[in-house]
Amino acid sequence: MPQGYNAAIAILAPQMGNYIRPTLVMVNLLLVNPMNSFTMVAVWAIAGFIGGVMAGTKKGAFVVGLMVWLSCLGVIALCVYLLFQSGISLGTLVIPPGTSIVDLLSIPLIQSMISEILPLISGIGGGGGLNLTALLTPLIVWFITPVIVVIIAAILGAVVRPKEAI
Amino acid sequence: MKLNYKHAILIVMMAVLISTPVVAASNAGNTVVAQDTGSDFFTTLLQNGAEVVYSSIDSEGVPTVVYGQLGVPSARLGLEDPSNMYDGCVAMALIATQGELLNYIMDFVGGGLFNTTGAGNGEFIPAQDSGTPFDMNSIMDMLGSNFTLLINVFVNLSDADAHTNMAEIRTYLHNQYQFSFSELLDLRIDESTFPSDMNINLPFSGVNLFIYKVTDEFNTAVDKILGVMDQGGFLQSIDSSVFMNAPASGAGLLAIPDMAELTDLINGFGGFSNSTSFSPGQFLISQVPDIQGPLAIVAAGYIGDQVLSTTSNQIKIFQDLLGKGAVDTVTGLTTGQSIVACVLPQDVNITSYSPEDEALNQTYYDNTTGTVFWNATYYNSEPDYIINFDPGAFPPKVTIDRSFSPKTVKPGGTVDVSVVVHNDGLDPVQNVSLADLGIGSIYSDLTIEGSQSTTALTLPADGYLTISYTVTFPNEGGYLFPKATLSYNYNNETHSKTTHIDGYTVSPDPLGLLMQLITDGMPYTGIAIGVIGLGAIVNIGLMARGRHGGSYQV
Repeated sequence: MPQGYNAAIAILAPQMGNYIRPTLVMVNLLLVNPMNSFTMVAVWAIAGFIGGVMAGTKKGAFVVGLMVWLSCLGVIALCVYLLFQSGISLGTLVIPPGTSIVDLLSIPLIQSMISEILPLISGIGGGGGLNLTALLTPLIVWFITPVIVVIIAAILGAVVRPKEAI
Repeated sequence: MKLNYKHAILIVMMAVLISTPVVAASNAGNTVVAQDTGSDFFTTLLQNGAEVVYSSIDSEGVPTVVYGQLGVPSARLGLEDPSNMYDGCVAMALIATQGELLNYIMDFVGGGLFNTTGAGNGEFIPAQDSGTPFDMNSIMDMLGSNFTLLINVFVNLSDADAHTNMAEIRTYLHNQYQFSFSELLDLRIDESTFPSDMNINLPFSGVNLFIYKVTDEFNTAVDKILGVMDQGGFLQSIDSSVFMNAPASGAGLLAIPDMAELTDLINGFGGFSNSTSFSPGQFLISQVPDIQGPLAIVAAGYIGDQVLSTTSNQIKIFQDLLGKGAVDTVTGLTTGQSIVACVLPQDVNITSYSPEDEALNQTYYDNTTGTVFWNATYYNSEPDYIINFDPGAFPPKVTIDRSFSPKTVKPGGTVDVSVVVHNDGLDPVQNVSLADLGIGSIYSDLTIEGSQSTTALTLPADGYLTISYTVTFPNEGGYLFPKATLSYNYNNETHSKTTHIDGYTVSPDPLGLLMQLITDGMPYTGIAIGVIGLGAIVNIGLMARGRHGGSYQV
C-alpha cells in the first residue's frame, strides 16, 4: 500500500474508527488508475493468472476472475457498513505531529484525482456547469480496470495451463 | 494564484525575520553598516550577498534563532549557470520543517498580515469566501507540521519543456547535494484545462506545478540544505544539530531565477494595482522592487527552550544559541556581508555588548527596541558576540515536560501520561497552575482517567509539581496532544509556559481487527466464512477421492 495511505489512516482513524484501514486498503485495490498504479495492476494480473491456471477453462477463468472482483466489492461494502455502524465522530480534522496532509499526495488515486478531476471541477465556478460525464469517466475507468485486468489475466492463465484431462 | 501566495509567505517570513531587528542600520557604498537602514536594505543584502544571524529572546527567556544566507547561494544552486534548466522557472522552494515551527512563524508574522488574530488588522480576504477573514492558522492546522518538500513552478513553457527542465534541476540537486525525491504532484494548468465556453484568458500560456517529497529524514534534509550554503563564514562556528534537535525547527531554500519575471507575472494577474487593501502579493512587490536577476535565500532556524533565567546576566550568541565551542572563534563570510542581530525584551537593561564600535558605525544598540546589531564583516575573528545585562530580568528556569508510557499501544490500550513541572531556579514561584486538558476536547471517544490539572500555592526551588492521568484509545491512528499549560507568579508578574505539541501513535493490530471485523460483521461474515469453508471442504474431498485426477485444478 502506498505510504500516503498510512498517513491518511493516522489522520482519519482516531475519529473514523479502525475500519478505515481495511476500507482504504480495498479502495486502493478497487480503484486503479492503470496509468500510474502499475503495482496494483500487477497484483490483479497475478491474482487473475493464478485463478485462471486453477480454473483451467476460459469459462471457468472468467467466473473465477469475476468472483474475485465481486468478493472484493463485498468486502469493501462490509467495511463501509461497519465503518458507519461503529460510529464516526466527525470533528475538526486533526493532523497529528509527524504527518502532513501533503503525504496524501503520494497516493496514486489522489494524484489521479488532482490531475484529472480537479480541472473538471474548476469549470463549475466559471459558469461552465458540471459535466457529470467527464467527471465520472475517469472514476469509471479506474473502477472497471481491476475487473478487466483480472478476467483477462485469468483467461490467459487458463490458456497457458488448460484443464488436465482426467 | 496559489503560486504568488505561497512564495509571498516565504518572502514575507524572511523579510520580517531578517529586517525587523535592523531597522536602524545604514548603507555605506556597497556595504550595509549599522544605523539607518533605508528601504533598499534588504535588496542590498540580496544583491551583495550576505549571511545573517538573527536571534530573539522573549520575556520568558526562550530563544528564536535564524541563520540565513541571502544572495550567496545563487551560484551554488546553479542559478547563474549558462545552462537552461531554470528557463521558465519562476520559483523553487525546498522546505523541511518539524514541530510547531510554522505555527510560531505564522503567529509572528501572520497576525496582522493574514488576520489570524481575528482582530481585524489584516485584510487578506478571499472573494470566494464571501468576505470572511482568512485564517492562516487553519491552513497550518490542515497542512500539518512535519514535511520536507521541493516545489517548482514553471510558466510559459510547453509541458514537455517544463518536465525536461524539472528533471535537470532534480538531477542537479541530487548530484550536487544528494537530495532524493519522490513525486507528489505534477500539475499543468493552461487554457485547455477549462471548458471552452468559459472563455478563460490566462496571463500565461501554461503553468506547471511540481511538488516532490524529499525522501531524506528531517535531520539529513536539514544537513543537505545547509550544504547548499557557502561553507565559510559563520557556518564554520555553528553546530548544525541545533537546527535538528529543537522540537520546533526547520530549514529551507527559496530560489527565484529571475525576480523581474516573477514580478511581471504577479502584475499580470492584475489583482493588486487598484486594490486598497493589503495583500501578500503587494508586499512582495514592494519589498523587492529593484532586483532583476536571480534571488536565492537559504535559511535554518529553531525555537528553543528557556536559556536565560533569574541569574543570567549575559548571552553569548554563538555559544549559547548556535552550539559554538567555548574556544572556537567566529569569522565572517568572505563572499558577502556578515550580520548579527539580537533582540532582547525591552525591559531588559542592557549594560554593554561586545564587540562594540558604535563610534565607527559598525555596531548599533537601539534601546527602544532592545536590538543590538553588529556588522560582523568589520571583525576578522571574534570569540563571540556577547550582550551583558542586569540579572533578574528573566523568570526562574521552570521546566515543563510531558511523557508517555508505554511509547505506543494497540487499539484498546492505555497509556500513562505524566506532566512534570520542575523549578530549576534558585527562587520559589507562587500560584502555580498546571493543566493538560486538550486531548479530551479533540477526541471524544477517548477514556481519560486521573487528574489533568492541579495547582500549588508555592513551588520551591528544586520543587516538582506533577499530574498523571491515563488515556485509553479505542482506535488506531496518530493522536495529537495539545500543549499542556503552566502559569505561575514570580515577582508579582504572571508567567506562562507550555509543553510542545506531542504526537502519540496507536499501532494497528491486524489480527485483532480481523477478529473484530468477523464479530461485528455477523451474520454476513459468518455466512461468507461458512460458504468458503464448505466449498473448500467439498473440493478437498473431491480431490481426495480422485475426481480431479489428483490435480489442483478445480
